[in-house]
Amino acid sequence: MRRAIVALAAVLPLVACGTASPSPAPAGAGGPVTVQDCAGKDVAFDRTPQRVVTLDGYAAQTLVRLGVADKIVGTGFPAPFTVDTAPHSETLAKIPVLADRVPVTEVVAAQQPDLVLTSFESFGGPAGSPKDADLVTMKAKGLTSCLRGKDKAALTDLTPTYEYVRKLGAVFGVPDRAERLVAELQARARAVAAPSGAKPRVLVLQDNPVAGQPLQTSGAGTIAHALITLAGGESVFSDVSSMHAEISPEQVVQRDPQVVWVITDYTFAKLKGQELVAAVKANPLLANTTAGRQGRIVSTSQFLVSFPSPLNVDGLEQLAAALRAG
Amino acid sequence: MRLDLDSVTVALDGRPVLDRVSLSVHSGQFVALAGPNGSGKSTLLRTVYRARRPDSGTVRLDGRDLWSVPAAETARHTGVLMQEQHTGFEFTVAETVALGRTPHLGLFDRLTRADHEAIDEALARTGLTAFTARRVGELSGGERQRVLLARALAQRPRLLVLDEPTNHLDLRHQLDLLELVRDLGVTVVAALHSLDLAATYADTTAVLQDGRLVAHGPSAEVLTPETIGAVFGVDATVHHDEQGTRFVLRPRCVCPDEPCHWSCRTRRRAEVGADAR
Amino acid sequence: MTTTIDERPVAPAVRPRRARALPYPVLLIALAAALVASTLLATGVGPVGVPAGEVARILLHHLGGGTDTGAAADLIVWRIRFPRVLLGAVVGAGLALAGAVVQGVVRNPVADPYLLGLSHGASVGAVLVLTTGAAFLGALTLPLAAFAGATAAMAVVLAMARHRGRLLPMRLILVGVAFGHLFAGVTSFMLACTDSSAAQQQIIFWMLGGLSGAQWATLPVTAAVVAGVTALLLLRARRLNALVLGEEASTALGVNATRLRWYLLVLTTLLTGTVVAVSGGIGFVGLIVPHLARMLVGADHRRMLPVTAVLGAVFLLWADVAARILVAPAELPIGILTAFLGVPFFLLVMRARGLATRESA
Repeated sequence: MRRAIVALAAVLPLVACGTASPSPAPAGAGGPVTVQDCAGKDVAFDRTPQRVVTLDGYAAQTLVRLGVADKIVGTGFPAPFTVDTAPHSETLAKIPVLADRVPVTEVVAAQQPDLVLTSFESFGGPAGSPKDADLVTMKAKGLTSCLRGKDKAALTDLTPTYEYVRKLGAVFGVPDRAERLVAELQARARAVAAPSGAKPRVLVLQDNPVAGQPLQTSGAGTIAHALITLAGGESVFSDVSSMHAEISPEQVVQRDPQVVWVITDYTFAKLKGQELVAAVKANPLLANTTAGRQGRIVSTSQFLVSFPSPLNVDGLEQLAAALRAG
Repeated sequence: MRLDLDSVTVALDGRPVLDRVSLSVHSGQFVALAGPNGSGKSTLLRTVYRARRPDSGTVRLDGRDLWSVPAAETARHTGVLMQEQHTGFEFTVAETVALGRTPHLGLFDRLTRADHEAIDEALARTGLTAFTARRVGELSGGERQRVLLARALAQRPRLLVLDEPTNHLDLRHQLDLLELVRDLGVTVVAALHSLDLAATYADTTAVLQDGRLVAHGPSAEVLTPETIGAVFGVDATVHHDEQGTRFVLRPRCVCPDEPCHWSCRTRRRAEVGADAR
Repeated sequence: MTTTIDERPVAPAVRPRRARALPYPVLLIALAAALVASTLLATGVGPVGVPAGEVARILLHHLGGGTDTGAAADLIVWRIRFPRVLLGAVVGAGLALAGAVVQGVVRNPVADPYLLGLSHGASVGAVLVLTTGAAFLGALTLPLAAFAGATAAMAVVLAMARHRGRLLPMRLILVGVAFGHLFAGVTSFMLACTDSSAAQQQIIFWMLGGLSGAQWATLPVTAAVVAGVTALLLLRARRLNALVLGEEASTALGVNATRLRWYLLVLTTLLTGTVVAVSGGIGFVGLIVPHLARMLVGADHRRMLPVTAVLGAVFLLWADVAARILVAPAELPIGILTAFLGVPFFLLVMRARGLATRESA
């Protein structure tokens, strides 16, 4: 038994959270293009992709803004389209929807894509969805967003979003449009950047807290954390990093958030949209916090702030306005 | 098949269960093992069918050391009926008895005509022919005991090792079983609780006490009131007549300390009553 | 005249309840035919509609040595569906067979390969790779880590269960269950610790099991190991019968119980580790299919092991078809389907056959 425990002890440090993936370096435009995936490996394109499958709507939203929507032969998970605005929403509505969720390998293969995109961190997450090996089988290239930096530092700006836009601009031979889009997004982000001063303590909630159960929040490695930082706030749980971190109600009371930011529309939340916000407002758990007493409970759809997309800045604008309003 | 135990010693957790037991059984002989619980009967039998290797001493079959030959070879001529009764999922009687041929078969062998003959004969002898498709788990304890005997017989053994073979059997089947075993003409070593059965069926009786062999010889010579009294701690009367040997056994009523055994009190009361009359 | 025990049953002999409608060879051939037919039918079914004639044409084209045509249907049928169907059959056969052998070795009808901590060990290996992002061996990293985890788990369990050179069933079960919980705890800890939601998704999917990892590149290795181990197990079927009767009984029949248990458990580890490595922890097949086989042909391992393998193959293959099409174009974890399909069928057969109606045995 002792030997087994020693063996376990030797293994556990490896568990210490985190993956290493260098951030990509965009290549120059024109002719054959080589970009790097999140692991730093080269992905070479001899010509501009002509048949693109976006596994989720976020990637499609990016391509639409780069003016290459016509290359998309199908998309999965179109839910993010619901929060997009004209004129992009009309373009997005014309894209064939392969599945309400992330489509399975066979459905993607039927489109004979030469490029498969996702704004998630990796391929093969949802059950049956194409893995890296499946992309090889269907002779398609694949690119994911690189949400987490090479070090495990907290995400404090929208670099992953801008990098993904630039990378896709390079791949589709429209680096100038990509740069213009990034510049525009950065300008909007600067416009709402808060003046230095007191930083309101913000608690992110993904569902209505239930007494006796841990709360789910967005950790430091997420877009949401970057947006709080950019909007001039301070996340009360920047010491946890994951996308759906579980935290104890006691900690919430102790850290006393001044603002509760409800991110709505997660699939696991029973209530959607404003119903969820209303439920959180009435939640007795939060009544003893400054945010609860002052009624400073604001909300944003997860489709704006979960994964890298140009709409992240829309989420930033919503949050910044709400923080300033208080 | 000749069996020789030479100074066999077996210890369990440092305590000797068999203490330098030497016993010779010649071919075709039926030896009964008698002795109280824990006297080492089962352990002695286990050393004979290789379930326990002696800590010292040797067990020889036809002069060859048991542990110098492969286990499968020993199993080809030693049939065993032990007390452990696992029925194993839902095996049928036929499947269980067929397992008796295992030691005769290599990895690639299938049952031959000769194997089937041995199985059918074992089933017939134990009166199980009508039971072949029944699941062993559905049978009564006595029927199961016969299935296990049939499995041992299907091995076509030249040495039969029986540990309390009459357990679970009714009176007639007890006699039938021992009759059958004796008529096989093979060497038999059987632990028996019943001294009557030992005296009736066995050629010789070996008496064990606390792991030591205290007597071995023709049953009539060995099973004397003195030996029985010393080994089992009971009062015995032995009747020999033309019908055989019978033992009348009574608990000892030397009771310096009350409470004495209940039957002693009853007996004493009867004696006192008789005296008074 | 030799003596026999004269048997005149007092009560009329109960008729054997197991009515064997089909002779064994016929049954085995029928099952094999069903497996081949299932393979072809299952290849025709999927979230993308491909006409049956087209499927047949593609299969014939490739089985006749043809190369990829580049058509979408060709890609789907030959590169995605067919290897997956074949993998389902191989994994199903392997898991069912491993279950049957473990049930025999520990003489316990509720045993399965996972009872001895095998799959939890494999999970630890796989999750270690998923959370650390290690990829030192490329695409083979995950299966090899899972296999190494299963092997390590079995080694630990066997070493701890050994007592005075013997390997006894109850001790094996106790040690296996204990380590299974320990490994499950380690897996949950790693799951809680990882902050990558993608890794979390993969871990959960891996723990539930699935066949979407099927690749022509890895299929031959898996199939070869399963076929080889199956052959070795079938050779030991008669001795496994003896082992089921207990330690003393197998000794009396010339079978070294402890040595045979070691041999069979090492083979089972190889089998389970291989299939778990490519399909994750698919539950229930190893538990239920051996019992279905026993209901069909009885407990004699020489008869039931081949039936178990074929039944397991057919069962998992169809469970995967259901997993693929029920919520198409998404997919369900196959473990849900093995339970949904297996339990009702199992209970029906059990009641119809009147099994396990006695306290003992």
